Amino acid sequence: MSVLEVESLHVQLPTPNGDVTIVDGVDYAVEAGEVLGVAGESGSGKTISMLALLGLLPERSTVQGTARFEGRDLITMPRRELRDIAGRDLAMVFQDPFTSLHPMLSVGKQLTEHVRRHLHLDRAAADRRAVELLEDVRIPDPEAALRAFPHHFSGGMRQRIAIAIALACRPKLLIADEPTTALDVTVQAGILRLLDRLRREHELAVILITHDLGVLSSIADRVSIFYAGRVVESGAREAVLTHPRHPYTRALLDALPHPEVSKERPLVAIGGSPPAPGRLPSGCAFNPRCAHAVETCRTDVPPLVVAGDRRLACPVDPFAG
Amino acid sequence: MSALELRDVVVDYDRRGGGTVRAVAGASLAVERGRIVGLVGESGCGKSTLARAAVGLVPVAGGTVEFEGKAVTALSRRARPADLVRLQLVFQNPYSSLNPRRTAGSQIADGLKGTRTARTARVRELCEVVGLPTTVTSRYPHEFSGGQRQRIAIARALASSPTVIVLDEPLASLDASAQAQLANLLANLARDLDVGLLLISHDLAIVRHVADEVSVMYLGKMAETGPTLALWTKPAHPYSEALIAAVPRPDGGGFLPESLPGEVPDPAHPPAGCRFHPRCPYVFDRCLVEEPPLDPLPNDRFAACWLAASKGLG
Repeated sequence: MSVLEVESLHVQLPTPNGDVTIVDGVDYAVEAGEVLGVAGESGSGKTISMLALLGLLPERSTVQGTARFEGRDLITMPRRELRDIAGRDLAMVFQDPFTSLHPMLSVGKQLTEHVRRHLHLDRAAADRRAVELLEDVRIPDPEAALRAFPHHFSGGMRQRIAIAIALACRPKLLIADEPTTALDVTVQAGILRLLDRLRREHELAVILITHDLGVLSSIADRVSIFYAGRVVESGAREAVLTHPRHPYTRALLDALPHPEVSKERPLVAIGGSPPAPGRLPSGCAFNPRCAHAVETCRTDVPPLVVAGDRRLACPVDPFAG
Repeated sequence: MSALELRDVVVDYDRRGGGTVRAVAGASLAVERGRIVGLVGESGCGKSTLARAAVGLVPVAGGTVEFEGKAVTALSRRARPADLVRLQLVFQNPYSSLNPRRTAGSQIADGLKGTRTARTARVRELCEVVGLPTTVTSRYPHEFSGGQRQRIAIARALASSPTVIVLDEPLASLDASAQAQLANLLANLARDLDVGLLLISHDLAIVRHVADEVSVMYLGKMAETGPTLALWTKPAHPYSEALIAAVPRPDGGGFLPESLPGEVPDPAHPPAGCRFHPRCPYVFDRCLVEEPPLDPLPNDRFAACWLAASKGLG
């Protein structure tokens, strides 16, 4: 059974110009010990679709669909129950460890507060657990780190601490939203290796949101490519990234500088820009930027359907076979 | 003679509560017209400080900075010599470097002289150069995407007909497609307008793609410099090797990038001997006591490593 199974998720957010659909029917599932990579440009609904699961959206947002976490639907669950699950069984790490850690509380306080609340440990047991956690994310001298404050640490160390806090209650699922975007590549590699070890050793399910296909390629087992609030292609990492079939996935990969590509050749940027939410073109949202669009692409929204070794939302399928 | 030349530059910062930190500890760099020089290194290695010293935004405590043969000295903005307008700086964050309350067109025109008609025509021309529709001139910064805003910042820098532009992380926080567009634009500026570019970036893949030469900086000094492709395929310094190995590859292969243990040490207390030795997998006795100089290697390459000469490069 999947740890998390999201079906037909729709999210509307209130704006001054009325409600705007940000996530428009998204499906995904993640198993224990598996890393699901979610990629797409900014504004594609990646983050909002995750915040919706945790009940972290602004007031008056509407969320439809189901999100079964160990069999129970997070969307219809009473808020109090959701709060118990979120933070204990389901944890989240954000892009910026500068803002997700409290600047005026010691690392130890932030770690133990969490385990004491959710696991009902006494102070001594909570401290022991905190040291264990810091060791697990490879913070040198964990006892001293407990008494230190976030500003004493570098960006990479802070992200490790944020991960330690997220792992404090032994969650089943970790949602990591651009966890390495603000970090140097050397530090990023360390965090990716850490996530990889955690999912192997603790059977942790991980949803990794990133705009960096290199990051996705190094750690994800399966990938979902988001565009304008919908999944356009999903499947096993290797299949999707070595043989992309949706024109958008292919365009994303073509835009990247590749070691084997001669520098005389310009990079292939995607023409135009992603549509603003609430102002989507009719039909396939990618059609105005797509070189392969045909008449039906401008009228009908293509559903995400099984296409051989993957799921694909492109009836033209110009790169099949 | 290079358009922009930094020789043995030293930059000190006062540390709060007393003492100084040597952010740049003797670094040299040259940018020719029409060439792109990439400057890479982890955060805290001093690359942004060196960029600021290059345009006279911070005073140097030692060494020289010369632009078109004249010394660049840190002066107040009012006293900035007229010759220096041909040396421009583009910042990382176009959200904060553009004025939110003025139209893109009026900000691009800041550096222009002449009649209103001539200025308007030139603004349109600059928009075309950076690949923006001319309709953008009457719009405000918040109406643009990050990539478009960065183009406006570049158009603004181009308005003073620069010979060298220093770009501090211009590609950070942009989506892949916007990055690709901007990288192509930078290559065109160097090729078509004969502008020299100093490109500071932590995105090594992009630097590899556009830069003619690369300088790898570590803890205030150059660890290695050389032509991009040669440096990339056979790095001479272990730090360059580690940086390159840490770049994840988008090939679907599932290979975890190599992490480099440890962090850039506090520049107030650089390690004895080679600055990189505490993190170096090839460290041996000599590295602990003696700092390797930036020595020449074949094919215009330089590296500050005792083992570089024995690698058989070239």
